[in-house]
Amino acid sequence: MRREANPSPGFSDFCALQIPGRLRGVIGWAAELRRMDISRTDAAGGSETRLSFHGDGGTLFGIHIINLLLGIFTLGIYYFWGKVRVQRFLHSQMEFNGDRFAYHGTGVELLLGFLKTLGLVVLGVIGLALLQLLGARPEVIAAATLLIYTVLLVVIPVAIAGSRRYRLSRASWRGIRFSFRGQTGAFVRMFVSGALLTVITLGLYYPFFYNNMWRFLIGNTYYGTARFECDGTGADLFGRFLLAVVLTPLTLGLYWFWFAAHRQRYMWAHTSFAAARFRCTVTGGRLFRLNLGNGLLLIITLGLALPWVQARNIRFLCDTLAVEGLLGMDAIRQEAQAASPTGEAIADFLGLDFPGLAPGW
Amino acid sequence: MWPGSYYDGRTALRRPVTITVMATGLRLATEEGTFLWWPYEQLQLAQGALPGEQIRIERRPEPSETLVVSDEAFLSAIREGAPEAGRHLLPVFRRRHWAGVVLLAGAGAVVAGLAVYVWGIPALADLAAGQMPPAWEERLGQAALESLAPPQRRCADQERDAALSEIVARLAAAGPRSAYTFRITVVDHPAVNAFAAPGGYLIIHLGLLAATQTPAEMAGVLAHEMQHVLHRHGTKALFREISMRALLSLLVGDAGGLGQALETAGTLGQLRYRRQDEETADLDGMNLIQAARVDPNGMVSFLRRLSREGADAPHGRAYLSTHPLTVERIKQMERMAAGAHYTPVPLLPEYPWREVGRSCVAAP
Repeated sequence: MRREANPSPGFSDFCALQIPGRLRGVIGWAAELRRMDISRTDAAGGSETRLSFHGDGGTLFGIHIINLLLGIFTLGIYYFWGKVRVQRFLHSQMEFNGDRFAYHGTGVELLLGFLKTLGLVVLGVIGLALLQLLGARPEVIAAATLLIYTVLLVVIPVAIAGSRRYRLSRASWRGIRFSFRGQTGAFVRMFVSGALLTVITLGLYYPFFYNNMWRFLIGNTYYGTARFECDGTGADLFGRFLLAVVLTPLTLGLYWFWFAAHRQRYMWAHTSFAAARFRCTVTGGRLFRLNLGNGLLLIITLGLALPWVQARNIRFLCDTLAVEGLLGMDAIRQEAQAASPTGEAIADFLGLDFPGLAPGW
Repeated sequence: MWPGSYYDGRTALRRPVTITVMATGLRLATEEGTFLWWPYEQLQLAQGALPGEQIRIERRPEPSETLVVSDEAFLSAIREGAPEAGRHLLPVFRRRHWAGVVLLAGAGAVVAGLAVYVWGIPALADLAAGQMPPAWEERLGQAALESLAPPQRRCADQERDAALSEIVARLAAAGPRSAYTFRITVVDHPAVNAFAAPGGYLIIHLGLLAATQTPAEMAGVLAHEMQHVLHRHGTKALFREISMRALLSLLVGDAGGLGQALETAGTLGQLRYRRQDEETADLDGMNLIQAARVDPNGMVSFLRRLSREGADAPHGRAYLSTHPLTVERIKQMERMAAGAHYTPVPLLPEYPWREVGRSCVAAP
């Protein structure tokens, strides 16, 4: 329910899908898959490789029902294992170049991450209670408010990077793990300064901020020893963005779909893996129809159609994203990275949910 | 002989293999004519219980080697070829039972959800509320007092407060010893209404004072509200509300929703008591009245007048909406009042009760 109320900003970026949280991760890696996967042994130069999704909404619905039952029996503890179940299914149904993805997360580690986060939250609440002892003077309230916003501004990028680091480290294709190797500290600096600049410039900095996030989140993504490269610039997006600022209100928001589609095509066109480049063919019209259809489905079924909506979103991604060129599979070696589930738990706690690959905002 | 794909865990290459199921392990034959031996005790089924899932078997340690087989009959072959050794490899539910398992789980979820809703949550909430120290309840009550009786709307009439306190003191002395100190706050509001917040805070609207004709009628209302406090009805309602929200957030798979559930602690004022709570408060309130030797007809006449006129008077509806009255309940009170055989000791004979609800001097 909460998720519908605050659609996570990161979501619309991944080929601009309105995908509920858990699926976003899948979509994220699906995108990764495409990029990575054209194995040199299988793909000739100039060939195109696509992702395909074999899952159906019905099976996903069944998984959710079973999770629900076990959740009730275990007073909610099963939530973490249920999450793993869904992820494992979604990964296993995504195919790239003849091989399926796999998910390696476990419920135990998610539970431990949650408990750690809970501990941090309790500490925060105790801190605020101590502040209250100072009395309700205006300067104390102002200081506390400032402190809370500052902490949130820092916690959000920590959660984004942590969640991505965790999810990618638990995803594999052909037995080789993905990983995210961006420094959390560097991301926090980039995020905080970018967010502040966007506010100060009344939003004009947004295309640069978006591009920086993409480059950081995608550009620090690895499949085994091989890295994804990004070479987009915020300046390239700026003109379209200005147009969107003018047209979006005039079209009652509809133009934003077209801008989001353009942005997605641009970002993917400037993303590569080995000698292969990505190509995103999403259009504003298709994006609009997808979201309209999803919205109607959810309304008519009072939300019961969520699993089918998830499947639709993943298929949409598979239909609009392709990889062209040589992936250099022969040179790739396993190079798994450790990753703590705490970042994932913080993101979950905040109600943030980010796709594995797509940068937020 | 089963076709499968083998990944060595070090490179991103797929190698087709032919698998033979043996009694103690799997034998993998590569296209180059070499063999790999996979003893069952080193293997783990990472995936393969759901329809449409490929069977994926991993061999530790990390980075683990992986074997993928698309034909779901492969698991049955292991079950037959190595019933003992392969047992830990087999999923609990096989995929051909999937539809049945989902249906059962759905029905089970509905039944379990209903059971939790109807019995589980109230029982747990009552248990938890019963364990709560009275000092904590007082804290809760203070929070509720802030919203139900904002300081700028409180009346400060020392004489009246003393009179009301005298009624409460007489009732409290007649009841069992309790850890609560009862405190009355009169609020400048025309509605005929009264609340009991956890920890002993009784909140009376000026309109209710004006609607009572004798101190005994007021004693009836106060005895009822005091029973809510003594039975911890407010605290229990709050716990029920919190658990209910937690359950809801569980249903939508949202672990963070717990924080929202806790926020409801601030909205105590909107909590409703259950009907059985009202009945308990009526019954024990009447017992308290009688134990204190207050005229039991006061409570009855007040309720009767309210049910007769209350629905028409705009400000009378408030009390009825928070204290739903039924004919049976009034009858029950009448029976109890009629059964009382004692000479009532008058309450506040000196106090000019007619004036009680006339004015409000705002608190400084």
